[in-house]
Amino acid sequence: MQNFIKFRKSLPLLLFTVALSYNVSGQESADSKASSDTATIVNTVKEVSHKGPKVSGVVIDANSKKPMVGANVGVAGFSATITDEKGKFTVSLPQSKATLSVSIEGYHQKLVPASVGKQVSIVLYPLEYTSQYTTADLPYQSVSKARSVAAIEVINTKGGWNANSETPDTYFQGQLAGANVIRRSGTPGMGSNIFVRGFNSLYAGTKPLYVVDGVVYDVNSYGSSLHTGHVNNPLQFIDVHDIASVTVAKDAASTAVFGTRAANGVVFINTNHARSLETKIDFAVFSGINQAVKNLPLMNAYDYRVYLADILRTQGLSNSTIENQPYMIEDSNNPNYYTYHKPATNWQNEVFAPSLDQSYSLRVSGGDNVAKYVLSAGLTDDRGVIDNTKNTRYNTRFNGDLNLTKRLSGNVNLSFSYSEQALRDQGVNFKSSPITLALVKSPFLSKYAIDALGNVSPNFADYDTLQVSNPVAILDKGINQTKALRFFGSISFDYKLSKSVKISNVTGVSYDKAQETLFIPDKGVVNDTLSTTLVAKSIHGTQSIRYYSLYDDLNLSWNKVYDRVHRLSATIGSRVHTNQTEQDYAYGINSATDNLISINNSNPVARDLGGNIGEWNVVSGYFSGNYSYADKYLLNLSASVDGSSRFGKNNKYAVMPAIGAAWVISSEDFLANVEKLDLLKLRISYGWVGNDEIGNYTSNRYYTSQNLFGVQGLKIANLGNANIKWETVRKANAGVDLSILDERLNLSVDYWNHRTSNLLTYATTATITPVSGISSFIENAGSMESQGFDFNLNGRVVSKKSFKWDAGLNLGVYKNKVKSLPNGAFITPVASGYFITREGSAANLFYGYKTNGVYASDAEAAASGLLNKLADGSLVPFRGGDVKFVNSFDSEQDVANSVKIIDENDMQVIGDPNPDISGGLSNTFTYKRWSLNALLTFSSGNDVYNYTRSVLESGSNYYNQSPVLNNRWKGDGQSVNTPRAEYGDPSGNARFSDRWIEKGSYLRLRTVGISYDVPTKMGSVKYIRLYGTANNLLTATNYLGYDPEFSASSSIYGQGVDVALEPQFRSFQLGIRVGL
Amino acid sequence: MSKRNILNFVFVTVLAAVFGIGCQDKWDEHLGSGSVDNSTTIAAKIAADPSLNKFNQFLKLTGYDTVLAASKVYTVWAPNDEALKNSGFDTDTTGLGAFVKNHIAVSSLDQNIGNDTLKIKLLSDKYAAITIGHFDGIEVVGSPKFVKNGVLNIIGQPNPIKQNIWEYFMSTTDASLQKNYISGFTIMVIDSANAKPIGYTSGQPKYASDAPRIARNGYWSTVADLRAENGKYTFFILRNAAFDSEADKLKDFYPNLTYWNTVLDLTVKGVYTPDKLPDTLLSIRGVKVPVNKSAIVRTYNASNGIVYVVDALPFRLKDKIPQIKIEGELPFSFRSSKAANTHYRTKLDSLGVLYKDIEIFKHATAEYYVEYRTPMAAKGKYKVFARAISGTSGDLVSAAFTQRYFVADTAATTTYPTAATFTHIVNPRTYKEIELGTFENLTYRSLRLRLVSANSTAEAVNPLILDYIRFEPILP
Repeated sequence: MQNFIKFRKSLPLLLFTVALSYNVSGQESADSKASSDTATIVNTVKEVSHKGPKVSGVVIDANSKKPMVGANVGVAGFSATITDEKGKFTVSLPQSKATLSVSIEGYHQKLVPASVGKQVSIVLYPLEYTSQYTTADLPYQSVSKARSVAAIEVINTKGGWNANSETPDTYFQGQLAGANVIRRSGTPGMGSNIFVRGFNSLYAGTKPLYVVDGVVYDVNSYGSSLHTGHVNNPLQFIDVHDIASVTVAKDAASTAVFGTRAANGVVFINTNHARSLETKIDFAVFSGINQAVKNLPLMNAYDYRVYLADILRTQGLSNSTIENQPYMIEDSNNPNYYTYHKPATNWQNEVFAPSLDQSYSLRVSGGDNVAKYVLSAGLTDDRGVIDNTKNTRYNTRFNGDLNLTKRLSGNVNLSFSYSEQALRDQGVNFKSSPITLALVKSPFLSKYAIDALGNVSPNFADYDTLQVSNPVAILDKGINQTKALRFFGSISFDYKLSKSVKISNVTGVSYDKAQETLFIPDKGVVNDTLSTTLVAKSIHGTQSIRYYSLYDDLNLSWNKVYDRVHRLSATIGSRVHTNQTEQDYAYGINSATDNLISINNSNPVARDLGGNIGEWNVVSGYFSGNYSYADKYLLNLSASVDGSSRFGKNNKYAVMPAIGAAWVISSEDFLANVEKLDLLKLRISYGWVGNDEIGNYTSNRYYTSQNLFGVQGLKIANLGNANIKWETVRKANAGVDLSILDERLNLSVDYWNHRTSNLLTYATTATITPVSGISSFIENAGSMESQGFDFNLNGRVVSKKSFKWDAGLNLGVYKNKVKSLPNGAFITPVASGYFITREGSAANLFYGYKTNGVYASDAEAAASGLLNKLADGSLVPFRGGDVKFVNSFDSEQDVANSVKIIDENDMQVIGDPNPDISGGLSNTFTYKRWSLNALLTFSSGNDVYNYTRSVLESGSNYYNQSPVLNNRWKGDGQSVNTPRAEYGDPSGNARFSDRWIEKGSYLRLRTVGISYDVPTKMGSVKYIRLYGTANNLLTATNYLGYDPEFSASSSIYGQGVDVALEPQFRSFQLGIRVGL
Repeated sequence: MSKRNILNFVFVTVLAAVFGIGCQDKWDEHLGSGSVDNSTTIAAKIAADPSLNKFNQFLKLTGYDTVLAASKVYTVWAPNDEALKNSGFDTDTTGLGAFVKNHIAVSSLDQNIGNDTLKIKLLSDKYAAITIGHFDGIEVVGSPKFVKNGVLNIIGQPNPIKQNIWEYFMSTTDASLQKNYISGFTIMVIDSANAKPIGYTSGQPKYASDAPRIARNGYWSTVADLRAENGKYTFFILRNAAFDSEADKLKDFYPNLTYWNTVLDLTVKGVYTPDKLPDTLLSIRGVKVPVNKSAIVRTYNASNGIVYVVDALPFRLKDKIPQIKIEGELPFSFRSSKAANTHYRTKLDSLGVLYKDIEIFKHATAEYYVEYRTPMAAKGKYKVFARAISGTSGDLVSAAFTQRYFVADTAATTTYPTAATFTHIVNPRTYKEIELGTFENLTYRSLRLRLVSANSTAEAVNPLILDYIRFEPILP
């Protein structure tokens, strides 16, 4: 295959040379009467008139309700005209019935069925309006949504000026029917995990494929970050303001050309290109404030000391020993007295702080007949609410369009972005995550060191006697830095071989590098003991992750109308994509002082160096063909043949075909007389797509280094599986698009069904383990099914001259079911909890114990007759103050012995992290020069495992607790809902149970933006706009954590697990944007 | 409704939901309510209870109302007003603080004790025995009240401060002889914990002559610290006649320390209440204490045990004058170091009983010896027995040999004036002890003893083996 790739790589160059030489002769014969009007690139119209029956009508602006002058009206490829000053037109039709295409710059291109002799009244909506007539610019074709066979969704970014501190992936939230967008955390630039129509895989990727300006844009982060809870998000390098349009392709018909990379849907992003030749300068400044999050309730110093006394007693300490603990001694002569008796510290207030954001953006566009350009530059300085964290991003973009000759055109898209992030460890990290530490740190301690006389030092206190680090010391002295950059450039050429045949090539390069630096100071942080029994005081780390890819897509397309009613278009092409990644890291410990922060100061004996290399190549051939009859019956056939270096040698090539059909019922005669029906279309599609995120080297057996008794060696890392291949997803989709009342009300509903086969699973076979030393291998052995509905309702609720209200509701519903697994079921542990994957139910269900309150007394516990199986296997009766676990299953042996035991047999499904329904409700109000938009997002029916609360209510250690522990069982006969506090939790009361499962439903007023267009009479200033934006303004939820929205991992086994990541926070921005 | 009205309605509903749900405090619901009263402290709970007026008043007088509001865990057994009716503290507040402290324990108690008894320390430094529903034998009224900083129990009787055994003994008038004798051991020593050194001599602190001093009594360190609240003892006080008669029995055997040997065995570990008192107890030293219940004159339940004042405690002479047994493997010193030739052995005898002994072989020294010291031996005659086993399997010594025992006349050190000599012919595989003769100890003292080898350097005749040697008193 390597030779083929080499050949394929040189092919575009060859073709380009040929095309250029052909072009020299072509240029001479070019039509000299070619229109020079390139001001509007979308529709270059010449008035042409073929002979045919005529139809006349009027075009009206939906906003002003006035007739539109100069709108292009015509039948594609047959006739065209321009409306007069009264908005009227007369145009000839190829037949007695045909579809008129009506367009004008700044408005959606409308497709209207017309028949001879009937006046048509056409209402056009501006591009800002969410319309069924939106044009989706896809790499191989531009298609009006009203004629799309496939299930696609177009996001109207409206310039993105109503959003601040967003990355493209967070920006999509609440705007895409059927896409469950979960922001990873509140950390700026962290992005989100997007599940388009649920998920189709257990272990392969769940992210959609991103295609930016026709080039695949890699959004994976390679190698885990040095910073706990962090992922490097490549999508942050695309400035939302640079996005012109986004189209999400969800079904097989729209994605089959991307074959084995399209299983999770494809997101097409097109960046801004100059629309006119006029030189335009746009400059915007935004500044905002981020509000610290609302603290979680915790015990105060008084209650905590009482709790601690209980814990120490259950640890086996005598009363006098407890009394002599420094924090219990009430004698101010005690040298430690002031350390523990200064006014209590609210650690959450120390860690969370309000912060200020700034962003600047400049865009210049213009050009001439030959070349047009957009140059944009931006600086964004976003700060998080964890003190001392920020994300400073610089981005530049140059997009150029070249009309080299009449036949040859090209464009260049070059972008370079650089970000510098100051982060903090987050999530399950009890040594250095400031949020976690702020929750568990004892409230009676101070952030500063205090001496025996009560003098407060300016130095931060070291970790405390309860072995908890000082979060403020980490915020001050710790370093979690990531510097990342991405160059993403593409150059494309279109060469028209004839009026209907075109050859295109696009070549893209990505270069991405992330450089991470980690330093955890000694002072203030609990020491770590490494596996080598060394004690790590300070920790140093550095990591460099590099990604490089070269992409090329060459295709030939053909577009022609036969006999005035048969429209045929087809594209055939090939793609090649080579990728290289490299990750290198170094860990060190124990520099001489905390002032020596870099890795070269660490102790050389304990340094740990390592890395990963990944290389893979994909080569594909693809075909896409569209046929339409009379613009009413539409058919699409597409297919792709993919070869990938990732596939096992026995399964080198994947063939992924799809078929789609649509029927535009509203163009039928029998509906011609139905008033106010703009569009009614039925769609159906079926096809195969695949998931190639199966690991670069899974098919090969490889070796990994291992240190055994100080000797470095290699050992087998896996059992290579030469049969390994892509996961196959068969996607079926049926949908309806409706638009009525002059587009005042638009509705799209889709039913979809995805069946995954060849699902990647780990086989654990007892027979191979003793021989190989490896307990499992990967194979394509499972299958699962997902199905659901996408629902999208948009409309103009109020349409007055001066006041308009546009509203849109989109939501998605999915249900997942595992059909078959090699071993029937398996359990995945995550943060002290468990997910079960079992045939017949959803793939990621929480699996634990059900509870039913707390035993009030020993007598009540004894009456239950239940025995508790402890971690060491022993069986003990329950006692008063233990949690009542539900005994759901007795094994045969237990029945025979007539005992009732609470053990792992009693674990059952206790929650489902998948939402029943998720989506968004958008509203735009415009009044004269004012505009207000409000986006509500919601998720309903999803369960959350509140791991953070399970720590804060475990009642088993020195960590500070939630006030719920004040209600703990303290003595016989007490009827409470919280079990007793006991060190080490010997009874397992805090085990993974429904106590920690909560409803994660929420409704959030996510974005509220208001803008005002300042009237300006200055000639040079075209516009001045003022913006005010509020993010995450209100959240209605019963969830007991900081925020119900988080996604700790892109894996389905990380969803709905709250590990105390930086929460979403409320922010307010003001901005001004000036156009010159 | 028109379409617009429907949408308006939906929008208003949604907004109402946002604000409505948003304002509800979900934590209130999660915190819920139980039978733990988190809003009050023990002090406030007592103050609010009308049946605890008196105790509350006592707390305020002693300042313990603020203590019981502090951020610690307390378990309080508060006597109700009925119980404090005749407490007498209304007129005289002497000792009120200690009384109050005797009802308060710091730290919570394990509530899952079942039928066990829990011994807990009260603020008064006294200990109380807790079972579910009882506080040191006093029944708890009603159910415990769990509050913010601990548990409040109400009791129907007060728990006055009890004297410990030592305090009672020192205050008793029943037995002047015993009391005066033991209290005579009290000396005042410098309280180094509280005294400040005024200088140092060779690293040792020097104190001013008026440095604070505390009492020390020899009985505390040699027999039992009868003041210790965390110990539990049964202590016998002999009235003067009984004391005299016991001392009289011993005067021939312990001519110089008669009284000391009389009081040595009056303390028994553990509490034996009258109903559970057996006829024989074992003293701390291990001597049988014959108990005659009819001789008990008075009983006192002290805070750390029980005291019996008796008219008679007739110890048997054979219990009071024990035999002296010297284990061969526990030497005091050697003539010279022969570590390479000295074997400490653990073997089984002919009956399969484990024994330990010493064997010194191939030491190549004429009259090599091992020296032993005995505990204090009573005056009088003793029969002397010894056991030495040679020739067992694996033993290098298989032939018969002779070893000697020299008992020193005095404890003099420079010379070794021999008072008695015993010769022991060690025949192989002799498992029985051999009677070596009789010995008369002329006074109450510790004995010095040497095990001496033959006057020869030949290894065949000069080994030394000793399991034990014992001195059995010959009593009248």
